[in-house]
Parts: sequence; structure tokens; C-alpha cells
Amino acid sequence: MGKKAKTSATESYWSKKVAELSAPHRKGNAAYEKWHKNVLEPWLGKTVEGSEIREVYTKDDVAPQPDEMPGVYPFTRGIYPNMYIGKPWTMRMFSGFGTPEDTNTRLKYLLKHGETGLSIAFDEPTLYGIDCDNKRAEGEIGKCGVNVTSLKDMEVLFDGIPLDKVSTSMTINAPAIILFSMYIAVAQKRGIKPEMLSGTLQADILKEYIAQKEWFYPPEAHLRMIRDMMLYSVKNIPKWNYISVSGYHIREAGATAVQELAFTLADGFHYVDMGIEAGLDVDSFAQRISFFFDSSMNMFEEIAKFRAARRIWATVMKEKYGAKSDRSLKLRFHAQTSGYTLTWQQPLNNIARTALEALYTVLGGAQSIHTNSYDEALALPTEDAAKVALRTQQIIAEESGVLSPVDPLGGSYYVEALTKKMELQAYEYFDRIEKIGGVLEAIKKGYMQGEIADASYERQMRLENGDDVMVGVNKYREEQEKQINTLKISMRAQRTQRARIAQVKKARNESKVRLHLERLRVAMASSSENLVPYVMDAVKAYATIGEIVNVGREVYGEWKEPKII
Amino acid sequence: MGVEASRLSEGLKAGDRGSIARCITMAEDDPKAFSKVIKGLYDPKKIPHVIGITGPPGCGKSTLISQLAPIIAASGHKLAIIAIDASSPFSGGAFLGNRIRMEDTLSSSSIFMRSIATRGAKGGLTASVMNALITLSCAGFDLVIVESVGSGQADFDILNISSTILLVLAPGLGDEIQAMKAGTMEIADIFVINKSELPGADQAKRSIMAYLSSQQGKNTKKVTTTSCVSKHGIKELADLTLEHENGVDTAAFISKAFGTEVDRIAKELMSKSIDKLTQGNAASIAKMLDEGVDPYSAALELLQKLEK
Amino acid sequence: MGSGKNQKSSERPIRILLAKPAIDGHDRGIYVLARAFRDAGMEVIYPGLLPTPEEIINIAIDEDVDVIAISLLNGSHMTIFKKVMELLKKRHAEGDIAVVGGGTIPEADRPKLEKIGVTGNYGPGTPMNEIISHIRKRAEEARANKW
Repeated sequence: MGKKAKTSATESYWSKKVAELSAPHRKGNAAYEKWHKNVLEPWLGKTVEGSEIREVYTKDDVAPQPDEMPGVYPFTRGIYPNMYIGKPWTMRMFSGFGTPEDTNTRLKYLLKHGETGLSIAFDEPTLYGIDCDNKRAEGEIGKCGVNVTSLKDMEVLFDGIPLDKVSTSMTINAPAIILFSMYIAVAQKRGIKPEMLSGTLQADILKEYIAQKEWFYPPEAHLRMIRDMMLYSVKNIPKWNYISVSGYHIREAGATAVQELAFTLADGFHYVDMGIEAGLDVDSFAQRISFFFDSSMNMFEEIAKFRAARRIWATVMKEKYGAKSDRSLKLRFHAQTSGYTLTWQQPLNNIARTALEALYTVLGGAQSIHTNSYDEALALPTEDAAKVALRTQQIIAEESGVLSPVDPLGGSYYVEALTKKMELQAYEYFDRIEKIGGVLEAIKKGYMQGEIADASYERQMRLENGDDVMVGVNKYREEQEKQINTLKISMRAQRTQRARIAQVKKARNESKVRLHLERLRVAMASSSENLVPYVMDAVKAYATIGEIVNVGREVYGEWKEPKII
Repeated sequence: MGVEASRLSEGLKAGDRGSIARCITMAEDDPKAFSKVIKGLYDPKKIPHVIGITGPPGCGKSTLISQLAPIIAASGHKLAIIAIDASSPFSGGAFLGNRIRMEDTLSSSSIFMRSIATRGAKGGLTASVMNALITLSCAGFDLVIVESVGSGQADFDILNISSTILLVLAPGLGDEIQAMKAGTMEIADIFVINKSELPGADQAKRSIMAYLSSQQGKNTKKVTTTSCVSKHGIKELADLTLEHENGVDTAAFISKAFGTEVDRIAKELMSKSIDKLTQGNAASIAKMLDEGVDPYSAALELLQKLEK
Repeated sequence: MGSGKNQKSSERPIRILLAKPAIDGHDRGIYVLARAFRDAGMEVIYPGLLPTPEEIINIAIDEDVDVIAISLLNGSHMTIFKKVMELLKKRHAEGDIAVVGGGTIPEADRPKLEKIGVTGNYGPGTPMNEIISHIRKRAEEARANKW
């Protein structure tokens, strides 16, 4: 996918898969047709011609295929033989707001109430590499996540949290290399060696260009930093997922389920290409590529999507990339229930939505789950709302019985047919993207962005004319909405953070900071240096995120997105 | 209105951006008031030259302009940019997205930018651009870059009033170069192979030069390469453009374009007067028709009332 | 202001600046609105991601728009919308340019925003035609003020 040197075998790999999967496996569907004519139509009292709705699926809808079993290639039914039997997924609640102290309190609260992994949300200034004392950050500090401007903030954020015992996921992309270095530095300060750390860094810059739009530099520069983090982690932090290839943001930006599936995996394959180009053997780095998918309201589409994702990843890694280790073939993913589906109208309804969406991820075999809180269409979650969301996962785990057996929906005619259908549609997208010139070329031409903008507009039009329904929004509306209490983030966070950074700047050694930033600049300008140690030196000297990001701006320049409409 | 006109007049003279912007709109909305504002400021010899930049989509025109404009402005010109986007033939609306690439350039300089939609132009686009040119001239601007949509009637309209025409191409568009309307290739003054960091740039340059040498007559056209990634060739392009500009006398075609403008504006004003007349006399028109007067006679009766 | 009222300036499409004055790249809503406004016959000026309030006002004035539509999802609407109105006032353009708001805005804040001149303040799920007719109304008012 996008590799310059193409052999004729790889050139036609996607077209080959499309042809393979499109081949009809049977002539017609006799059982269905017979039933339609002799049972359904009499029941309805009329003939039904050419309807798009399939009322029921039969065994003829499922192509014959070798038996699939969990824990066995191609892992459609689950990556482990016993999946949740014995141990449920990681309950990992995305959290962060205000000051590092505020978030530290929330993290401890959730751990106390049973979450089993940490997930950090950073505020917009942090995500965009803008320091809290920068005028541009005015009014935005701590509003959408926790503010981190220097290493000092990270130290406070993780105060009293055993980094060698709990895994941490950090949702950070453009400045990922900085937060990554800070996390390691905090651990080192406490005598925790990198090899004892486990966790995930989102870092997936491709989906930023496609959907979330958090970047600084042109793609090549960010990809280089991802390569460096990949090489560093593979060597020093074996339990670290150095990237979480994300579909969530792509979906939330308006993509369809198939587009989410296809664009995410296409991105994933691009990162595999990158690792290979960096000289690594595929089995040495592929097992630490992790994924992050959305879980939206349409039940079977979501479950089929998760299953198709596993099958596609395993197949392509084996057939196209020649990976031999099972660990390279197993797609591991975190899932989040969809934020877009939440409504500010009648917010308690969202508890039902989140519960359903969480159920789908369990039936779909996720390794780690975040459930949204019911008030999140209005604000960041209150403590109580976050607790309900966590309890939702616990109720599914303890009371619903769906943890056993593994992949209970496997063999369902509909689920298997839908899994196959989405698999084919994904390969069609891979083929199209390759014809455009690969993932990077497609991004620069605005291809995925355009697909997403079209899909989101079509969805809006369907809502407007009632073809799609959101309960409480365009149907079952209420005139007077009951007000609920929401989390308010005051300007106190801004004041605290600004006071702290002033203190940090006063106490640090300025010439040391300048020295490390200069060394970083030189390293950035060369293409062969691994930037992680340079960034780490800078963060340890208490250089700020903005200072480090600006060095990159000088070297790489900024990137503007292509025309989409 | 008198106070308003003189305030805007003063504003134009002082180069106040709010006044410039308001006047561009006013030229279209209220030509009568606009003519009052520019009295004393208007000078046909001071109409800015237009650098028309055209080319197929995907060649990086906008990014190129964002890098080219500051260099041209820095060489002593008061520069403005007009970016044109196509209006939807169905709704009449438009998405004017050219500022996306420009904001950094614009916020750090005195370059003025205006986005204009083609509005299903039947010569109407030229009118919008003329309104802007005249307004800008009263504010002391001497050079305007017009980035056009890259094909169709709107494109030709702009190129007709441009004193220097840059045709921006990119490597790998071989077929498109063949398919491009012969007209554009003929009137371009400078051919720019942008994205020269991509393979095929040299070939593209050579094929354009081959095309030019196969044409009859003395060839004064230039071919150059640029890369917005490495910023290579941008200064050279600015030099070539300004060099060409110095050699151009626009008096003749400005005069022709303005002649067409007079005709258009007169028709528009007349049409507005007639609208006013018809609306103001709606009741008596209805009465006439009721009384059995035919529409033709009613119209002639109405025109008698037309005030000068 | 006389001759302006009789001009059919309403024939000219509404010029609207659509912006998200926040450090926030989530632009799904912006693109849906941009397309809807264009399909409703408006000329939509979009300045790209991360514009500051200063940049927004500069663009609104240089482009002589009828309406500025600003949207925020990050809860800072009280500070940022206020900033936009202050800058508009400084350039003597309030009244000439209508300001319409949208995003994640609690019910309680809407009257406060209306008081400073930001109307609409539509949340997600508002039918598009409601938003569009409000914008049309405000655009007419702004134009009447200009001339």
C-alpha cells in the first residue's frame, strides 16, 4: 500500500482479494425465495418486488469456508482461545480535565471503583502544542482534558499511581513523542525501568490528517517521529503499544462503518510498510501495533466490523507481509462507544445507548473498552456520570452472561454474511486507495476527507427528512428539557497552570534547555537520528511542549489541508 | 448618504480595509452611491494591473500564490489578491475556500484579499472583478493577482483583462496538458511547472518548451519550475512576472473593458429603475389591466412616468 | 441610507463567514453547515482550522460578509463569543455584520449571549432550515443597516 517498489504480485494483491471475495458461491438463494413466495407474501397479503430489505438470512447466504475457531488464524472469532472466560476486557475510562491534580483525583476515583486501566485525555492546548502561558491558550486550559505543559505536570498527574502495575493509554497525536518521553521520564524518576512499563500511545497521525485534524508539520515529519518511537519501543519497552491505529475519529467525523474499517486498516498497513522500510523484520514490531474502533448504534454492522477487522488484518499480514508469528497476526483493539450518537436532548437516554454500544464491543471481542457518560453531549463527565458508565461495563461483565461462550454470534447466518460483505467492501477501498497512489497520496489529494464529508452530509440529510431517527431529537421530542447538573471547569485551572509554569521556568536551567533544544533541532534536520533521546533530554530539563514543538516548526514548517469541498 | 460617502471616500484614500471591502460590495449593490464615493479618487491611468493565474485543479495554485504574493509585495507594490470560486449552478451558492491557504501570508503583510464567486457569470464575473479593481485603485493598489477557477468561461473572462498570465501546471498531468483548451495555452505568458520536487518535472518543462518552439512567430513566452515544498524557484517566478509586467501597456484593453462596463452598469441601473417603477405603480397597473388595457399599452403608459 | 432600502440587495447571495474560533480540529459540523448553506444559495467563506478571533474579524471585514457564524464545542463560548463581539465593536462593524452562534451551549447561557449580540446559539440536532431562516433574517437586518 503505497510502497514505491512494487512487484507485480503486490500490485494486484488487493484486486486479487476483491476478485476472490466477489466470486458468487452459489446460484441464487432457493430457500429464501421459496419462503418469500409461499410464506411471507401470503402473510403480508401482497407480492413484494425488488425490496432492498432482506427479511431473513439463511445458510445459503454464507459462503462455505474452513471452520473458524477463536485463537486460531484468521482470528475472526477472537484472538485468544478463551477470550473473556476467566478475565474480562480492560475497563479503561478516558479521563482528564482541569489541572493535573484534578485529573489525578479522578483517576484514583475510577481505579477505586473498578476500572482496570488508565486512559488520559489532554486539553486542546496540550494536543496542539500550545503552552498554557501562551495567549492563544486563553480560555481553553483544562476545558476538554488535562493540561500538561511541562514534565512537572506529568509528575503531578501520576502522583501516587503505580506505573509499574497499571497500564496507561495516552490519547495524544501530534506531540505524542513529547508525552511519551515525559511518561518514561516520570517512571525513571521513580526508579521504574522502561521495560516494566505497559500502555498505549495513540500517536496515529494519519487519522489526524483524515479526520481529527491535529497536526503541526507535513506528514513525512510526523511519520518520522512515529518511526522513531516504534524503533525505541521495540528495543526498550516490550509491553508498550507504540501506536493505536484509530478508526474512532474517522467514524465520528462522519464516515460509514465500512469506511472506518477500510481507512483504519489502510493506515495500519501503511505503518507496517514504514516499519519494514526502517529495516525491521515484520515479526519484530507488528505485535505492538494496536487498534482503536468506534462502537455506534447499529448492532450487527458493528459486530461484523470488528470480526472483519480481525480477519482482514490476519490475512493481509500473513499473505502480503509474510508475518509468521501469531502475535503479528492478532488484531488487538480498544473500543469506545460513539460520542456522536449521544444527544443533549433527554440525556438520560444516553445510558441506554452506551449500554447497547458497549454490549456490541463485547460481542465483537474488544480487548479494552471505554463507555461514554450520559452527560457528554453537554460537557465533560461528572464523577457520578462516569461511575454509571463504568458500572455499565461491570453489569455487562457480571450479569449479562455474554462473556461465555466465545464469539456467541459466530455461525449466525446474518452476522457471517455481513462480516464477509464488509470484508469485501474494505478490500475494494484498499484497491481504490492503491490506485490513487497509496494512503499518503490519497490524504494529500483529500480522498478520505472527501468521502467522509459526503457521508456525513448524507447522514445529516437523512436526519433532516426523518429517514434516520435520533430519539428525542427528530422524534419523541420534548418541549421542555429538564436541566441536569454538568461539570463546570472554571478559570482556576488556567490560573494554577500558569502559576506552575512560571515557577518551572524560574527554577529550570535556561542554558541547559536551550542546549537540548538546539541539539534536537539538529537531530530533526537529519533523517537518521532517533529523536526520542533528544526529546527526552529536553523534557527532563523542563523544556515546555510548545518550545519543543516550535523547534519542529522551524525545521519542518506547517501543513495546510487540501481542498475538501 | 453624503456623510457615508465622504467617510468611505476618506477611508479609501487612507487605505482602510473596512472601507475598501464595503466599497467593493457597494459597487455592486448601489452603483449610484459608489460613483459618488469614488469621485475625485478615480483615475483610469491608475487601474491596477491584473496578474491572472490559471491552470487545472491539483497543481497547487493557491499554495504557490501564498508564497509568490509576499515576494511581489515586498518589491514595492501594493498588492491585492482576488480568488474566484465557482458558484453552484443549482443553488447559486458557493464555497469560497481559498483563504485556507492564505491566512498566514495575509496576517503578516498588508496584502488585501477578496473571495468572489462566479455567480453563473455571463460577463457578470468580470463586473465583480472590475468593481474590485476600481475600488482598489482608489485605495492605491497597483497590482492584483487574480486566481481563477481554471477552466470555462469565467476563466477566459479573467484572462481577457489580465496583463500577465501565468499558467500553472504540475508533473504527471501529461494528458491534461493535451486536453487543455488551446486558447489558454496560447495566451499564457509564463508557464509554471509547479511541484517540481516530483519526478517528471524536467520532462514537463521540456515538452512545454517543445510546444512553444513549434508555434509560429517570435516566442517571448517563458517556462519556469517552482516547488512550494522547498520554496525553490518562487523568487525567480516573481522576477519573471514583474519583468513581464513592466513591458505591458494596459490602456487599450482597459478602455475596451470599461466600455463594456458602462453598457452593463447602465443596463443594471435602468433595470433597477424599472423595478422601482413597476413596484411603486403596482396598483395602477392592476387597475389598467382590469379596465381592459392590454399589457403592451400598459407598459408604454408606465414608461411615460420614468424619471431621469 | 435612503437609496439602499430600494435596492434589491436581497438578490445578491448572502455572504457568510463560517468559523470555529477554538484550538479544535473537529470540523464535521462545519463542513455539513458549509454545504447546507451553499445549497441554500449562500456564499460561504471558510478560513480553515484554528482561526483566532482577530483573524475572524479581519476576514469578516475584508470580505464584507453579512453574517459571521461561529461555533464552539469546547465550553468556552462565553469568553470567545464575547471576544468576537468586542473586536467587531472596535472596528465599528457591529450591526453591519450579524453574528450567529452554535455548538455546545447550555440553555442558561443563551440569553446572556443574545444580550451581547450573538443570536441563534443552536445545538446539535437543530433542523437545518431553522438555522438557515434565522441566518436569512439576520442577514437582511445587517444589510439594511449597512446602507
